[in-house]
Amino acid sequence: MLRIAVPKGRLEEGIVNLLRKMGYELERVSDLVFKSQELVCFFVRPFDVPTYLVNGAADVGFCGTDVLIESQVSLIQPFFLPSGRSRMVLAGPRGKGIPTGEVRIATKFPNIARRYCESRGLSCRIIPLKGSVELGPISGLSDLIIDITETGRTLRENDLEVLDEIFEIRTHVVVNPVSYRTKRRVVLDFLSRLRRVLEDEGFQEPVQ
Amino acid sequence: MEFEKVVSFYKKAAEKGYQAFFSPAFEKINHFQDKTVVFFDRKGNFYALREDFTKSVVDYKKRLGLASVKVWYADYVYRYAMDELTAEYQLGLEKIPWRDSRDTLEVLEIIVSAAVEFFGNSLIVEISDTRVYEDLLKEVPQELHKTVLDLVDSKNLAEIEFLSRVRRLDLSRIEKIIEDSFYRREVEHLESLDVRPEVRERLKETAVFLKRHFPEVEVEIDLTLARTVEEYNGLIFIVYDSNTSKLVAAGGEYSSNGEIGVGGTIYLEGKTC
Repeated sequence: MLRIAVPKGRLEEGIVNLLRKMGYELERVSDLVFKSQELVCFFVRPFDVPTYLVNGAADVGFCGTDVLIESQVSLIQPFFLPSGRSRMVLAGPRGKGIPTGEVRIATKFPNIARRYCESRGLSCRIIPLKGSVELGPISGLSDLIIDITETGRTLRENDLEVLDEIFEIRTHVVVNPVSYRTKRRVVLDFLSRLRRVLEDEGFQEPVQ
Repeated sequence: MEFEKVVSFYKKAAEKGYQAFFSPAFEKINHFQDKTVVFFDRKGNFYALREDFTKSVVDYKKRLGLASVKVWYADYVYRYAMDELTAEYQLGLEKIPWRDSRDTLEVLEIIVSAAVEFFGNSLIVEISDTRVYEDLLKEVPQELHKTVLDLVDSKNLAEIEFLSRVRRLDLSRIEKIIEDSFYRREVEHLESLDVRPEVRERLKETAVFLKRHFPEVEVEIDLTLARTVEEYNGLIFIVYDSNTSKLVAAGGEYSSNGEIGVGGTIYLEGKTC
C-alpha cells in the first residue's frame, strides 16, 4: 500500500480532489488519515512532509519548494503541481535598498537566507523568527527580511518592497528515494495517474 | 551463490574471446588517496585491498605494455562502509581499447544474459550516455559540475531551481531531463529527448539490440543516470531486479588512466569481513 503525506492547510483540499480524480476512493478514517484500497494518506504539517518521507513513514508526498530547500533533504521530485505565484523574496523598507556592511535579516527560513547571502556575497546576521517577519524592520530587529509573498499586499501594508526575488515557490510531488526503488512499479503507476489527471486538466508542461 | 551459473558466465565470455583475469586481493599503491584499508610490508611498501576490477585491469595492461586486453574476472572486491568492511563477489568483463559500439553491445549481451540466469526475467536495464551532460554543463561553472550531476542523479528539482536562481544559471534543460526520466523512458520517446543525434542513435541501437536479444527484459532510457564516477565517458547502463529492487549489474564506456575501454559487472553476494 502506498503511503502519501499530504500537507494540511491551503493545499489539502486540492490534493484530496486530485487523488479522487485519479480514481482512488478515499474514505476518512480520522481527521489525520484517509484510506482507499491502494493507498493511505496522512495529513501532516507542511514542514513535516520531508520528515515523513526521509524516515520512511511515507512513500510519496506534496511539498513546497520553500520547505524542500529549507529542510535540505534529498527527495526525488518528478514534477510539480500547478499552484499560485508565491515567491521567496528579499524585502526591505521602501526606497532604502540593501544597506552596506553587515545586514541583519529576519526570516523563518534561516538555511535559505544563509545560502542566498553566501551566493550574493552579502555579509549578514540571520535572525530566525517563527512568524510576523514583516515586523523585523519596523521594530528595528532587522534591516531586511526573507519571506514568502504572493500578492505583495502584506509587504506594502508594512511599507516594505521586494529587493530581490530568490525563487518561485511550487508544490512539488516528492518521492522517498528508497520507495522509488523498492516500490518502483506502484510509485510510477501513481505518478502516471497523477500526471494524466493534470494533463486532462490542461496542465501540459510542469517544468519550464 | 550458484556455481554452475558462474561457470556459465565464464563460458559465455570465453566463447567471445575473453580470457581469465586473476589478480591478488590487495595491490601495491603509491599514495593513500581514497583508500580505506591499507597494509604495509617490512620494507615500507603499501598495499590496498582491491576496490574495483577496472583499475586492476587498466594497471595490468599498462604494466605489461599490452596493445589490448579482453578479460573476464570473478572475485571479491572490498568496500568500507558504515564502519564495516564488506566483500562483494563480482563477475565482470573489461575490453580495452574500446573500438566502437559493437564492443559495448557484446559486453551488454554477456552481462544481461548472465544477469537473467542469476536473477530471472524481472530485470530492468536502464541506459544513458554521459555525453548528454557535456552539452548541458557547458554554461555551468566547472566547480558546480559535480554538484549539478549529484542533483540530477538524485532527481532533486527544487535544489536545481534554487541553484539556477541564486547563481543566475539557466538549468532548464537539466530540469527537463529529470522530468523526462519519469515519463519518456521508452525507445519511442527518444526522438523527443534533448540529446545530440549521435547519442540518440547510440541509445536507439542499444535499446533495439537489447529488446531483440532479451524480449522478456524491460529496457528503459534514463538520462538522469549521471554516474558521477568521472571515468565514464559514453554509453552507460545499470540493471535492476524489479522483484527485489536491487541494483544487480552496471557498466559502460570509460576513460581511465589514459585508456579507453568498456566493461560491465554483475554484483553477487556481499559478506561482512
